[in-house]
Amino acid sequence: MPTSLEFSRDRYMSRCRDSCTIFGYVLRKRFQRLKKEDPAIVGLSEFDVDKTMRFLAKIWRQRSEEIILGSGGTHKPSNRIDAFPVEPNYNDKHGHRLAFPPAGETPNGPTRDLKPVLTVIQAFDSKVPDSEKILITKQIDEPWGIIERFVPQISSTSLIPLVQSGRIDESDIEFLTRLGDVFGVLTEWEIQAIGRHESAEWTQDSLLEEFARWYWFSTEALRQLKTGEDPRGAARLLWQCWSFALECIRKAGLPLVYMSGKDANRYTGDNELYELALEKVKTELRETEALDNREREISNRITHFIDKVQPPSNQIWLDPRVSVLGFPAFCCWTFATFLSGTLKELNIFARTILPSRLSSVTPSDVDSASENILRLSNLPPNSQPKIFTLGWWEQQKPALNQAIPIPSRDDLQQNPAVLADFVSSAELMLNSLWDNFMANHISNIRLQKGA
Amino acid sequence: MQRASIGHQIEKFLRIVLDKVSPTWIVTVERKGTALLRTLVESPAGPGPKWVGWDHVVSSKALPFAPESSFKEGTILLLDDAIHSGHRITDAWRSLTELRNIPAERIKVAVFGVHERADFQPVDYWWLGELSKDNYFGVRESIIQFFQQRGSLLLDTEHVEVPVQINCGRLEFFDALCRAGQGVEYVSSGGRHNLTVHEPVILNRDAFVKLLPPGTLIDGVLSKIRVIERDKNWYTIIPIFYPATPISSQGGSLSRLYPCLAEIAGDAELNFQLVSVFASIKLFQTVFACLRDLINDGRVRVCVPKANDPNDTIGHLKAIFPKIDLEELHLEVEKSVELGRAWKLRKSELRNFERIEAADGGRYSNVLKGLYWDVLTSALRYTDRLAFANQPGLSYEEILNSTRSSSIGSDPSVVEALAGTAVDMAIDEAQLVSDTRQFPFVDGINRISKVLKLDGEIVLSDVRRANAMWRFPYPPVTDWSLVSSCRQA
Repeated sequence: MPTSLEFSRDRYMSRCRDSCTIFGYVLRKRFQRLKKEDPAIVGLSEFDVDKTMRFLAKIWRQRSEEIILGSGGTHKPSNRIDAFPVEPNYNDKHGHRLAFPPAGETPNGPTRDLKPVLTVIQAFDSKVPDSEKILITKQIDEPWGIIERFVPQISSTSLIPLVQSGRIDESDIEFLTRLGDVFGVLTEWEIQAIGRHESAEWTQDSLLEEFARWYWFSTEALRQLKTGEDPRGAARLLWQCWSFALECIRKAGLPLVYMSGKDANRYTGDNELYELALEKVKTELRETEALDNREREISNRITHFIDKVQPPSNQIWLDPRVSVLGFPAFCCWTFATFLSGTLKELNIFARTILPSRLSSVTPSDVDSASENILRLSNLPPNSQPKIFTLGWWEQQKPALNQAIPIPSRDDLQQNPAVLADFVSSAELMLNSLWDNFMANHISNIRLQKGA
Repeated sequence: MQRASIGHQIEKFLRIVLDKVSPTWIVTVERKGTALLRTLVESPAGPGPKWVGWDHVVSSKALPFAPESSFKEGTILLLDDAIHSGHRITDAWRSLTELRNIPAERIKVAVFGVHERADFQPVDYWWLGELSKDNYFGVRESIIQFFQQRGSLLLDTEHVEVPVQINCGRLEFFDALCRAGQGVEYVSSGGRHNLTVHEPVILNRDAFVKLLPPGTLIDGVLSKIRVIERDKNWYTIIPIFYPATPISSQGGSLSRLYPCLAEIAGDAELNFQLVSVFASIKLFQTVFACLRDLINDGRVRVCVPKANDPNDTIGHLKAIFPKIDLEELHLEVEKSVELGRAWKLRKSELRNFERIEAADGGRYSNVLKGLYWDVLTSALRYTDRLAFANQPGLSYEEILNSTRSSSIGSDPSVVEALAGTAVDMAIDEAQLVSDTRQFPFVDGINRISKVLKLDGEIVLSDVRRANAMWRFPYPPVTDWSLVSSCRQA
């Protein structure tokens, strides 16, 4: 790696601040393009912001590496931001995010006490008046609660101080402008898919984290259901269980079965989204009729950098490190749909967030999931495939496990006392799935990685 | 000379002069003199006890319109920022002594910087005297930069301004205003983030036209809303609208304007200025209709000044219109603002324009630089061609026509907006100054319209020198200050 791209503490805070401004600019260009297509858009979600910044950071680094290498050794360290001083693989409850190492670090390099870039931007913004903020936050009242959206406020005029201080130059601004505009052709789902996948190894890591979170929320939800505490708390946990299972199956690149309700078309596996995203950006970059020569040149360079930082989707999802996790993903998705989908119909959860958040799950989806969970619990351990497909599952179709009694939905509706039985059965299924198809498997992978 | 210190020096100079002279009246030499005074009046410390108030300030251009009762008693302070040859201050001096018959001993002259070869005498107070050529240019540029830093104070002083404080993102604020028309966002040479909205929507346009003198044209004339950053979170909104009025407009044809304007109607040129004030105040309705939602959410706070407020941004019009009733004028501005706030814009009244970013690195930054050059060379060619005819300058339409051909391939509406911004920048940096001129229009009616010309001998020689060095199409240097530095070449 070129020397100037190694992590450095030199003038760290000001580089962070200026990096945030650059992120804000590209986010603004993306937002403007999105708004041109859909004037109703209010702002960008937290995930959109994070994944856009990740994508930018990957491309920027690649570009800088090539500039430095192309200089034939004449490149001198300067005030320029060759690489954003970020860790791209910070992993918290929200998944992999772009993060800064904290400012008070020792000179020996970044530790794990990282701060997500979005959090740092908000910290910078809290110290300046509204007119100088990088991101303005808007609160939107949705049926399922209040959500936040971010509206970037950085235009090219805000980059003038960075040019004057030598952080970037005019050619960088031209590059960032075109890049941000191209990012604007992607939906939120597509930019997430591109932003969070870049190699089989990282996708594998990401999946392992999601499995762990799904398992934790599932056990917590069942525990809370057993204690009979406030249904709102249980509802939130059930939603998280389902939500992390959705992340598992999306990241594993599987078709999203058990989802046929009105919002279902919002969800697609990451591999499809990833391919679509790459196709869209490259098509956009090829549409150069309205551009001048300089912009065409920049478009060609961006295409080159994207090819360098984003492999074709089959290099990720057909890699054995990822494909082998398809079956565990199917298991946790089936369980979550069964558990959360069944319970959302109950009267005790009627006034909680559960029905609205799981509106895309229909009764027939729950029936399918319930049947499949009984079959899964009857599947011999170690019989999972290296590459899971629904076709494989249809061929396997183990018998239903009659040993685990599951109260029907009607029973649950009419007799609340039956809930305890349901929870017990669910717990059995969860443990069966985890023990037979997930725990050993995951720990073996971690052992191989030396974690 | 550092800009921060020039500001302190100017303020100190003015306080000393006011203290020593104790004037009853102040006459400012054109716009720079008035801008100088504004820096003191609008300073955080205020103008001090010897300040005479805007109703005792007259711009040299407005001397013919000052009431007979003006200047009857006490000492008159004649104020300018700098004298080179002294033509303008000499004209102002003669207006006072020969037209107004004011004894010379009642007039005290104060000038911040005096060139070593300035002919004008006497200069009673100066801060920097016997300035060599280089030092004079340095002082002049420092003063202009200082005005820019303080927020484009060199705009012609016949504009009404309303300050607003924003508690929202700058782009939220700018984008809301761009609903009125094509906006260009740029950074001034003083580092201020400014916006100009070109040809803004006129609300209730038909009713507005009926209020103007018959035969007045509102299309194809200079019409914009300038939004100037004055401080963190503080912007001032300056609508600028110059309908072309028939030279035959008599006082009676202004009867449908605000009473405080109609009652001071006079000759054709004065009437043109009064119609412009009226039209500009009308544009406040558009501005505040666009900002309505942000205001209602508490994210923009409007601060319509009251007469005699310490930070009154309307009172300086008294220097241009000595007979105007300032209190009434303040009320009309307030009414227009409130009408705008109550107006719910219909989709048919809005335009879907993007805000153009004209900063370095953006796709329009080189277009803007080229247009800036075009504007100045157009003004130079005009001067050279028609200097013998003593014509005052180029109309806005003529400037736009001269720039259209050099930006072939770009969206015409974008080029027009950028050309307008280039004009704004040239005015802010004292390269261009405005005047009025009579034109025959295609309908056979002679009308008065706003024109622009190069601001003085220094600018004229700078542009001529640069034009000689770089022929076509644009200068290779993109930093205009380098042109000024070529004086040594």
